[in-house]
Amino acid sequence: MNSKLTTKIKYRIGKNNLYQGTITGLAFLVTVPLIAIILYIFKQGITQINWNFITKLPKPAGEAGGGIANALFGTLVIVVLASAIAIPLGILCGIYLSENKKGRLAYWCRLCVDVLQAVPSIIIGIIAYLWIVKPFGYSAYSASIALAIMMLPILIRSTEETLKLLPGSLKEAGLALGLPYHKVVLKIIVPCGISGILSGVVLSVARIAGETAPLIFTAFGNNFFNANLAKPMATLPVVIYRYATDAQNELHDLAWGASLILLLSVLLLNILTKIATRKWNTQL
Amino acid sequence: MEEGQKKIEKGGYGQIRMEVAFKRSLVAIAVVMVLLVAAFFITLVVQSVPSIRALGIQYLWGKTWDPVNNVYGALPFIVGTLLTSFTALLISIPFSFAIAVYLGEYKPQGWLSNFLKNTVDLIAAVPSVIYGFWGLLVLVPKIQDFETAWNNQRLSEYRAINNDDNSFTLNGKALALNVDYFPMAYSGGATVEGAMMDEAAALPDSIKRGHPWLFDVKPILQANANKPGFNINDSVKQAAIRFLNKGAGAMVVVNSGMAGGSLQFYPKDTTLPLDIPVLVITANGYKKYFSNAPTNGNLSITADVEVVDPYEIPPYGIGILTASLILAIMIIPYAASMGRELIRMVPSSLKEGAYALGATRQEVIRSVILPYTKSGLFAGVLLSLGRALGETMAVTMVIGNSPIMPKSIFSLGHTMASVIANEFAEADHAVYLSALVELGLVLFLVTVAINMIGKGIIKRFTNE
Repeated sequence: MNSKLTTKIKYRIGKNNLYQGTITGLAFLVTVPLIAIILYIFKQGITQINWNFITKLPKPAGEAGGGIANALFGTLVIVVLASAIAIPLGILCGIYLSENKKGRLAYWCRLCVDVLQAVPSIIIGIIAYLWIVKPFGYSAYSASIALAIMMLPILIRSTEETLKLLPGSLKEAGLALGLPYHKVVLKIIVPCGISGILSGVVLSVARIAGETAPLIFTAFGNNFFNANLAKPMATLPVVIYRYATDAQNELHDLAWGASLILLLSVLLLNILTKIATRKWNTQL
Repeated sequence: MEEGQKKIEKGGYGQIRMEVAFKRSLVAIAVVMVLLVAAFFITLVVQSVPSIRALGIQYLWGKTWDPVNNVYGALPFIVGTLLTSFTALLISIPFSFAIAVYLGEYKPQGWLSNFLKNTVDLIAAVPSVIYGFWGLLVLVPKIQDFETAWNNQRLSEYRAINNDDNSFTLNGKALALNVDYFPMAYSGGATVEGAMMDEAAALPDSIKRGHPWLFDVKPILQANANKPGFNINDSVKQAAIRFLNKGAGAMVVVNSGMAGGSLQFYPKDTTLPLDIPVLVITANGYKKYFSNAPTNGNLSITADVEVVDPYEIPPYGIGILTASLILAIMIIPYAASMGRELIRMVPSSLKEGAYALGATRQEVIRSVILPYTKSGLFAGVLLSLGRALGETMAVTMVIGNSPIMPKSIFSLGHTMASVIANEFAEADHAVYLSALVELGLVLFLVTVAINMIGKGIIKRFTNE
């Protein structure tokens, strides 16, 4: 009897250990592909990156060398413009939602933010194409608008969640001193939650910096330098996509270099968000 | 004094006006958000109208996509999307679950868990075009090697060839005439090389055409065991005619039920000449070559016949499997982080109660944590699924982009998102563009519905 019991317990302990081992193994196995991808891109990309690569334009087909200066510039311009559109709208909408926890409009607005977050990026590309590209042609600003729409839900959510956590007494103190509502919001509430809001901003930029699908039929891309927002503009993700799917090996090399730059920027933005959230102890 | 008061009042009114304007602009932005999403939906619907009008509901289950001839059927893309997403989901679930349990229950803190948590977050941060590029240049050759190896391995098994001198080789070994097999009298002659196919195997006849087909007489013998005067010859002949009409290249008769006995045939039966070669495998031959082999299903690989072994994998490297593997990596973080949060919300009193009763950790996870978080974990999986359905770039780069009905996960394919990415900018006439927008509308509705259901479940879970 006693030995039977011991066997049973031993069996259960063994099962428990096996389970824990499997869970731990599976969990850490996931890190393997990511590390493999990052290392591989470093290995392939680092040899490509030099002064020419980031300052020269692409060479005509068949010629070696060339750089991706136009794509770097294009991504920067399009992302900055998208941020300029999305950040004020997103933060204000977030403020509205945190100030109005109930109500019909707040309910519908929250629902729409959820819907917008769920929409695949390719659909946002379709919409931008139908709304802007079809009447006015491929342009950098149509890409910015598509990306801005993608930024909105992240910005709105992070602003709302951050401001919700602030104690109500802050607002009440401001109002009791006779401050008008907009000053209470802009001078007290927003500065108190600025860390969380900024983290949201960085996160949303990180999310869209590498987006490709909506850019294919908005910014389209080209091989020369363009600073006109109403014309097609080259971007890093689209350059990677075009070069990667091309049969020429030299173009693959350029794409590795571009991938490394894109990956580094996105990782940097994400690490910034991490540091910001940890330092200010905010919730995202 | 009066002037000062006026100034204050004036300033006050200004402030009030500002306040009202501020409140109104907040409301206006909220309204704009609602209108934006409504406009999304309306645009998709309105732009789909030409396609709905021209193609009707049949669009959704049409199997052919041929824009040049104005034929639009979305079924290959719908099947491709579902196949890719669910395969990816199946692969990713064990990993997501492991991460959720590890970070939620085993080690919520510590540098190792921090490392794991940050890595998982980074998986979601890497742009999908980079996954696609890596997949195309690193994963695709590996998968191609695997597929070639798989085919070669199968090729070395069971090769059945009937040479033109009526000798018969199976798997490279010659079978002895009249010992291991004999050709049935008055059966036709032909050179047949190909996979041995079972008639009962669930394959279209078009694939089996030209191959030698296997005919197992066991069920017929069993059914007629007690019938006096039963003649197996008639059944074999009927089968031969049926096989011929369906396109068999030859018929190979075996008896899998009576390994000890042998089939008896009238050697000089002239009543009905058969137009295809019919070979009868004797008990000896069956024991020698078929005893370990499944007589049910497909036994072999072909050399010269056009249609090959249905289990052969086209060794492209790209295709639905590759897309699913990359998708699986990409969607792990969504279910994992959701699961982690939910597992942490399990009240410790419940867990402690189970521990106090002597449960091991595994038993606590199975009988306390899992039942408690079941619905939430399911919702997390739904969020992953929503991601997988809409993912575009990585899939586009490795799925092969061919608008055919995928036969298996090794086929090339197309998903709804990838076909839009590939063809949208090239759609040169109204119905074509509209058909693609309609595909987008379907994708929009499905992903939004799945996400809303997932979020609804989580909301209910966290409120409880």
